[in-house]
Amino acid sequence: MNPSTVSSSPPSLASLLAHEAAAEWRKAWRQPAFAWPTLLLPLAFYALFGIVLARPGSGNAAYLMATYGVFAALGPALFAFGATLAQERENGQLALKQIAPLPVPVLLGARLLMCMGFTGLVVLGLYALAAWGGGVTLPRERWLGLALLHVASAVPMGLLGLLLGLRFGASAAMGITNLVFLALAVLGGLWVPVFLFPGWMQAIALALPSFHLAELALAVSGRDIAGSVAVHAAAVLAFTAACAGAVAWAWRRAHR
Amino acid sequence: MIPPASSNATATAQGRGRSRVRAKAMLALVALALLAFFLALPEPGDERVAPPAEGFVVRDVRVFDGEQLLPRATVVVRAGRIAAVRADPTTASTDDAAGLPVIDGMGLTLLPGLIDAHVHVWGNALAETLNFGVTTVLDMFSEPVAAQNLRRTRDALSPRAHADLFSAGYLATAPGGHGTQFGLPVPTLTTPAEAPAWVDARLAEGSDYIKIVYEPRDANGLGPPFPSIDRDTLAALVQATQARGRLAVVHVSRRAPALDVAAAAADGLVHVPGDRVRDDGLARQLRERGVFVTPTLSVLASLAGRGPDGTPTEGERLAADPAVRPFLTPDQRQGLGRSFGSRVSAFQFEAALATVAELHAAGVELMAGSDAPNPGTAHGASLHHELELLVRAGLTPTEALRAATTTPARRFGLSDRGRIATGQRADLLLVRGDPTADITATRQIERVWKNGAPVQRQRYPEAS
Repeated sequence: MNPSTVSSSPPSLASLLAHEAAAEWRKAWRQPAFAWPTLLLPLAFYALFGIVLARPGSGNAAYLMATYGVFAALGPALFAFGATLAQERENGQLALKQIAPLPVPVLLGARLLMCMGFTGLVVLGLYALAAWGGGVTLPRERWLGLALLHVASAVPMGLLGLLLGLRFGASAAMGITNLVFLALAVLGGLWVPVFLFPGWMQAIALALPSFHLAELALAVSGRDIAGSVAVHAAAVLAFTAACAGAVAWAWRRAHR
Repeated sequence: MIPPASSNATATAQGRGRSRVRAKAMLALVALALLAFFLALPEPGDERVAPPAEGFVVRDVRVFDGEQLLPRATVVVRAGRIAAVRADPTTASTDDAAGLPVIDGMGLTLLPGLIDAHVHVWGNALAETLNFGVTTVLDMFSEPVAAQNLRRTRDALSPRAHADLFSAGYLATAPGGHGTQFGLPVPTLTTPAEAPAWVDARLAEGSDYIKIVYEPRDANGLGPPFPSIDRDTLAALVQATQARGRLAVVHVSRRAPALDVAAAAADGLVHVPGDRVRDDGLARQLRERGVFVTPTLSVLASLAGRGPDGTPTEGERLAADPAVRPFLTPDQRQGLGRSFGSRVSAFQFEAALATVAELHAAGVELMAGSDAPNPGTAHGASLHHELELLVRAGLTPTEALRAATTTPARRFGLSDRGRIATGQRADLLLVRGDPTADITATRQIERVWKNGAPVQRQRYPEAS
């Protein structure tokens, strides 16, 4: 290999993204206090509520698999974009990366890929628990479709997390991200099915993206849902678009 | 991080080349692992079916075999089925009982696992039901998905911790009619022409039989405040269902619509009409057309509410029964204490009892069904209550027991259930005392078996 084969032109965007995403992945795993709870919490909850405590013949294992998959997307996305980004913004790491120069889409895209990777890991564990611990069976195309939906749920959640990370200081962002995380999980019917809620709580759920994602997941897993798939999908897309717009605005404000 | 584009170029380039190959290899490995994982995930039909339990013997026990009482018999269960019923007490134990645990049945009565002919199943219903020795339920309206999943292993004889479910799936009703108020996506219909396609859709979803709601206004325009299918649509649904070899059962609440149901020759009514007994020939017509009736007195008792002097409701009485209460979940105890609002005043419990007496005297086939988990009812427990109410209405205890065993099994084609006979599924209930003498003995449950495996009854502490 002679020096003339060394490329002196900047690496391609795709290569940048790949490297940055790999770095984000390694960084996440170098923080075991972040990685392991994020991975194990949804699996532990599912094992308890969906398998050990589920009454036989109730079909809970299948129902909760769908909703907990959305929960799996919530944690990595909200915290990696929310609390972590706020910290990085505050201590100057973000600025450093941008001077590097790392294009902003690559920065954010890489983090999103890392989140989706984490969600994917949880989802695999969830499906394994459901299939071999809970006796859940689904046609192959539904397993795949559900996995895609669960992993893609990291996108709207990541945007929401990003909004929080951009608007709040590091310490506030941690607290607020926790609050939002719990609210979306509990009030969206991800832990306890929404049909067990009183009427006014069910009304609150309608406003939450986690509820609509959970309904979509239930539909993909083959259940009849009360609303229409189109309406839930539209709600999620609208939320994603609104978040994207808010993020663009917040980004400009943060960098004025 | 962006890799450096200069200095130590050769070594870095080689390093980059190696790491690129390694990265590609890792990616390929991950992709392969994912593929293997998704290929390994079980599909419907891949369910593991455990082998049936070994078996047991109940010796010197009174047996109600579904039809009659055998004063003393020995029953041998093997591999999930009844292997032998020996009524002759002098026969010594033979090969078919070798090596099996023996239970002494002195003073006890062995019954077929009971069948609840009218329930609505969701959540933990099937496990709660089995807790009271009710081993099979006929669901009369719920989402098809639970039944679809359970149906795949229903025929197996593996040990099971829940009752078996037969289901109507979605019911047939008019847009805005009874059944559409629960937030479920019930497919409705309005014209007779839609009936065959509607029935086909239900059978494709896995319905075992078809349930129809028929609540028309009378000639004076009086009736329930919600729409209903008309008589021609009812007839079309019954015809389409029976042409496809399935049973058509109908929800009515008054005698006049019940006459239409008899004329349409549906297979059964899933409630007894709640209006007063009249000389309209209803009982005779139901008898002649072979229409069975599931009175669901339990839920009608709940509609009656509390007595004028504050006497407890039937549901509260059931919840307070010391043989029943410890095995009810806290939610079930609460549910039994509830009753319908006073808006639903069309029903009179006394009229229903009288109608049951009228139908029974005319020879109409009756089935025991609770309509659980409506207010004032509880899965499993309310079937025992229903037996008591049927006896109050005039049936003998033996006739009431048949209404929860052989009658539903025969009419619904459940060929391996409802009887204690060789080859039958070993769904069994062992109780203290003799329910053919005192019907409330069915609640004195000593043991329950489902598919020949013992069922551990669940006790619940009192909520503080």
